[in-house]
Amino acid sequence: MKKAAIFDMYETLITLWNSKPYMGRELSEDIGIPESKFREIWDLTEDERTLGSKTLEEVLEQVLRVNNRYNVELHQNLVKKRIASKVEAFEHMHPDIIPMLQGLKDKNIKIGLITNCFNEERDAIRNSILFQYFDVVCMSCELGIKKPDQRIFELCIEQLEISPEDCLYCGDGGSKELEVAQRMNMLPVQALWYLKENSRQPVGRLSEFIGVQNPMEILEYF
Amino acid sequence: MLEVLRDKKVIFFDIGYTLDYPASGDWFFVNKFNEIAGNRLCDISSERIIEAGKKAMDYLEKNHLVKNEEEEMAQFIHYYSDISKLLNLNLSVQEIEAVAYDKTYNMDNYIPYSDVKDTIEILSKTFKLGIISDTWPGATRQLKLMGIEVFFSFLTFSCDIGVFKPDERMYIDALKKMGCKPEDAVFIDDVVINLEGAAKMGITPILITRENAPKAKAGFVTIKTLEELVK
Repeated sequence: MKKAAIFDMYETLITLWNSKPYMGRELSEDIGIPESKFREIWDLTEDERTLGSKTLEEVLEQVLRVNNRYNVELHQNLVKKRIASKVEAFEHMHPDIIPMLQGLKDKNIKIGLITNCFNEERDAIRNSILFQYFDVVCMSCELGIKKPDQRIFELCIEQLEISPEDCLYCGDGGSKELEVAQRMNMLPVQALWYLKENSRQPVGRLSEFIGVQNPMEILEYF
Repeated sequence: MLEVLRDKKVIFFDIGYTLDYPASGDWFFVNKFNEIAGNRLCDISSERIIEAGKKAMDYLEKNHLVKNEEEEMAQFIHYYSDISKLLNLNLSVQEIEAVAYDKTYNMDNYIPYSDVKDTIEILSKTFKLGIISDTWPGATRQLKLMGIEVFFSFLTFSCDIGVFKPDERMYIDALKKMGCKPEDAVFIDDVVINLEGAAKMGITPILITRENAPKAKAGFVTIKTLEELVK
C-alpha cells in the first residue's frame, strides 16, 4: 500500500480549458500589437518564466517597451487580468478533486505537488482552496528546476520523507513526468478526467501507464 | 426499452464520445502526432499547447466545407503545419504529411465503445437511425469499420453543411433528410449545448455520459451507455 501521493497541477488537479483564457492572443489584443510580435518575447521567455528567472510583470514590461506601448496603467491591467484568469481556473475544477484530496487526508496519506508553473500561477496555487491539502509543494519557478528534471521529483520525495516506492505519482502525462516517476520506482498513473472533457492536452492517452478516469479512483491505491 | 423512446420513430446519434472515442485521448493529437512530436512537446507549457491548438482550429472552423478525404487531408496538413509553427516543433513536410494522412485515413485512431454494434443493430429493427455529427468526410469510413454504417438511413455531417452543432442548420438537415417531425425524434449526444440546440427544434434530447460523471443539472434524460436504450 502506498504512503504518499504526488500530483501535478495543470490538467491534473485543475484545467485551463474550463475558464475564459487570458493567454497570448488576449494579451496581444489588449496591448494592440500583432500576436506574432507579442510571441517574439512571450514564447522566447517561457523557459525563464517557468524557472523563475523572469516574472510575468518583467516580461510584460519588456513587451510593452519594445513595442512602444508602455504605460503603468496598461501594464498593471494586463498583469491583473492575467492573474485573474489563473485564479479563475480553480473555480472550475472537476467536482471530485477536493473529495479525493480529503479522502487521502482522512487516510493520513502525505500529499505532494510537483508543478511546472509561472510566478502568477504560483501565487494562484498558494492562494487556492487546494493549497491546504499539500504537505510538500515543489514549484518550478521557486526552485529553478522543472519537470522532467528528476531533481524536482527527488526534492519532493525527500521533503515528504518517504521512499519513491511508497509513492503514487498522478499527472496528465505532460513533460515526461510519468516516465520520470516510473524510472524512480514510483507508481505513475495518468489522470484522464480532463482528457475526456477537453481537447488539446499536452499529451494524449499514454497506454503504457495506468489511466484513471475519475479522481476518486486514486483512493483505491491507499 | 427506455421509456422516452416509446412514442418515437427516429433516433439521431452523435459520433464522438457517443459511438467512439479517440485512441490517443485527443481527436487531433493522434498517436502518430505524439509519436513524432511527443519529445518536442516535452518542454512546452500546457498553456502554449492549448493556445496553439485553439489557434490552429480557427482555420479548420473557418474552412469547414470539406467534400472528400483528399480535401480533409489537405486541411489537416494545414492544421499540423500551424501547430508546428506555433509550437516551434520544426516538423518536416514529410512528418506533417504523415500525421495528416494518419489522422485522415487511419481508423485505429477511433475506438468504438463495446456496446455500439449490438445496440445499433437492435434499434435499427424498430427505429430509423441517423447521424448528426461535427466531423469530416472520413467519419463514413469510421462507421463502416464499426460495422454500423448499413443501419443508418441518413448522415448529417458538419463538413457537408459548413457549420457545427448547435447551429440549427445541422438539425434541420437531419430532419429534412429523414422526412420526420422533430417530435418523432430523439438525439443522443455527450455535449449539453448540442442537446439544447436539438431541444429548441423540438427533438427530444438524451445525454450520454460514458466516462463522465452525470451532469445532473442538465435536465435531460441521461444514460451512461447505449445499452440502456434497449434494456
